[in-house]
Amino acid sequence: MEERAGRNERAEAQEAQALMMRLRQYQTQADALTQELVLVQQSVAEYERAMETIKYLKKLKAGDELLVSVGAGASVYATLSTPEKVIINLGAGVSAEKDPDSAIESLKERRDELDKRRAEITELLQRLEQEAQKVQARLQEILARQEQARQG
Amino acid sequence: MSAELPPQVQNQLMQLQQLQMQLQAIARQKMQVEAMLKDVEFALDELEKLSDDAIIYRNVGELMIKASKAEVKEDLTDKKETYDLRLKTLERQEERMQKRFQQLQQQIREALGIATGGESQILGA
Repeated sequence: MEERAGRNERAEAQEAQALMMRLRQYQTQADALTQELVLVQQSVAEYERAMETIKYLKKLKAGDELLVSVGAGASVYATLSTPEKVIINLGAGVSAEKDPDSAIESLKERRDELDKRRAEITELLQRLEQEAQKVQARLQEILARQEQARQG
Repeated sequence: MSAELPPQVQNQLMQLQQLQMQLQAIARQKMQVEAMLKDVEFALDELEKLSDDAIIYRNVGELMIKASKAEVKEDLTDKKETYDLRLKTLERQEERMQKRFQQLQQQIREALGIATGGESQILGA
């Protein structure tokens, strides 16, 4: 009888260890996903800004004066020469000249892709949290029983 | 806790941890190559949509140098092949390590099972 109780205790202790390991794995996965989510969110915001800028530039004409930021809050005067052309990064170190509307269209496609990834990551994080909660509940159950056994 | 484990199991656990670290490193590399591959594929798709005389620039450091669509396409296709190959190599490595990981895990489980069984017999006696 005592032997069986001892075996059960040991099995539970092993299970608790496995559960703690799983929790740590979930935490690592969640950290990586959160980092990715931040990057994706930043990219989405950057695409939105670029699209807004190009949309606004469409209203301007050649010769219009504007200020170009050179960083650290400093700007220099510039004159718009070809508002009908936008150079857009295609990825992999390649850029192409496009008219503003096609440029916006390309940016929108990429933004949508990023949005999809954002939704995927959010869902994955929710699933991980649910799983972690289940593991935590089981772990607490085991720990409470071990505590009871120790006291009793 | 680990002091109670037989030296062989401790050694296997260490191997398991190392394998896990290596697997994580491979997963990171795979992710990087996959991202680069996706980038190249996306650029190739975008390039296809443009006319043959489209104005293309290659980013070289901080500079953008004019290039022809054909040149850039050839360049990107070569890159794509390289990344495809690298990805396959990484996948094969990962598969091998995964198998070794599972084997080792099984061996440890069995060893621990025997150890616990033996201990209970001693306790029972």
